[in-house]
Amino acid sequence: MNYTLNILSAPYSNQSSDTAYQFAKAVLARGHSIYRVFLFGEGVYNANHLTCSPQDETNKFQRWSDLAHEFDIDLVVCVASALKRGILDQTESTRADLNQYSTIPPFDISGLGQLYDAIAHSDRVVSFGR
Amino acid sequence: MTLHIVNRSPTQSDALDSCIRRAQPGNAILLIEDAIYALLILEQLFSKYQKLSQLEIYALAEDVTARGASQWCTEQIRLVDYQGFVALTEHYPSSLSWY
Amino acid sequence: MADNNVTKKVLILCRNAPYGTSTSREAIDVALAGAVFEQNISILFLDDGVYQLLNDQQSDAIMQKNQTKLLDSLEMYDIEQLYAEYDSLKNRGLHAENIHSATTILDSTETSAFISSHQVILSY
Repeated sequence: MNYTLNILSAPYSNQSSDTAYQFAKAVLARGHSIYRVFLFGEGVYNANHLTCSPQDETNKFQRWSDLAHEFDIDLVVCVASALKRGILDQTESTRADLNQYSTIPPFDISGLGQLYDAIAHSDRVVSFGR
Repeated sequence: MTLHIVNRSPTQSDALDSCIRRAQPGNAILLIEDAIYALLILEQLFSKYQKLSQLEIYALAEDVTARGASQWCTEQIRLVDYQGFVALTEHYPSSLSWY
Repeated sequence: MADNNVTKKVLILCRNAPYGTSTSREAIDVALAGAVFEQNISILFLDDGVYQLLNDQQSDAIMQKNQTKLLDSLEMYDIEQLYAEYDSLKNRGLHAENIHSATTILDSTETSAFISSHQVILSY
């Protein structure tokens, strides 16, 4: 089956994105594929690459990045939620005339159309929020 | 056929209460994260909601263990791990998350 | 595998009050996007979500967009019906005359059936 994960809460502050990550690994372990991980609302903070974790803790940005690279997962960050929360990639940063950016590939900033596309192409859609 | 996924403590939030009221017979409820604290008040919940006996109730084992709540698991609750969580989503075509 | 030719029925389930958190505003963004992309979507207000339906909201002084205006904009994209649960309204002291005129009120049995008639449920 094809899965889409809809993540609505920030890493570290809430457990939901950890649950989503563990769920994602279990989905893949059971032989399914993940069509898309869609970050929305506070969930966009999972795409913040300026995350510095203590050495004895998991880097919650890096783990999604690693999983996406290994399993070719599409990580989409909702543009409307992201920009107002300061999650910008290089393109959006330039567009906003700013000289910093806070997210990088494989995270891809895009619109809510990607959520509906994911719904159309997935057998299962599971939301993780708080 | 719906899998209801609840992640809030029932003594802090109305998420579980709301879920139970809207769930239909044959649906399942999976308690994850802080919702597993419902195990500590299971008797109360089953008395309050007749409907619970018509629903399959599951709890995520890793969250139960993390919170030291294992001794409150009874046969009314089935423990599943993360792969079991996925298996539930395979079985139930739609999921509804309550938070 | 997913059948791409059949548009799934998507339910936007709104359980949060407006203004205190951004959740309710972002939920309507999701609904609007669904409407723009001609998806088959419905919106149901449950629990504190029914507060979004109150008439006479004037949010300028708290520097936020008016939730009623957001709901009104759904009509431009042919989402003319909003659904709300009777018990959620009653438990909050609300009646039909207090809330958005485009609201259809469902009893608890109808609400449960309405929820399960949708293939995908997005909860906000």
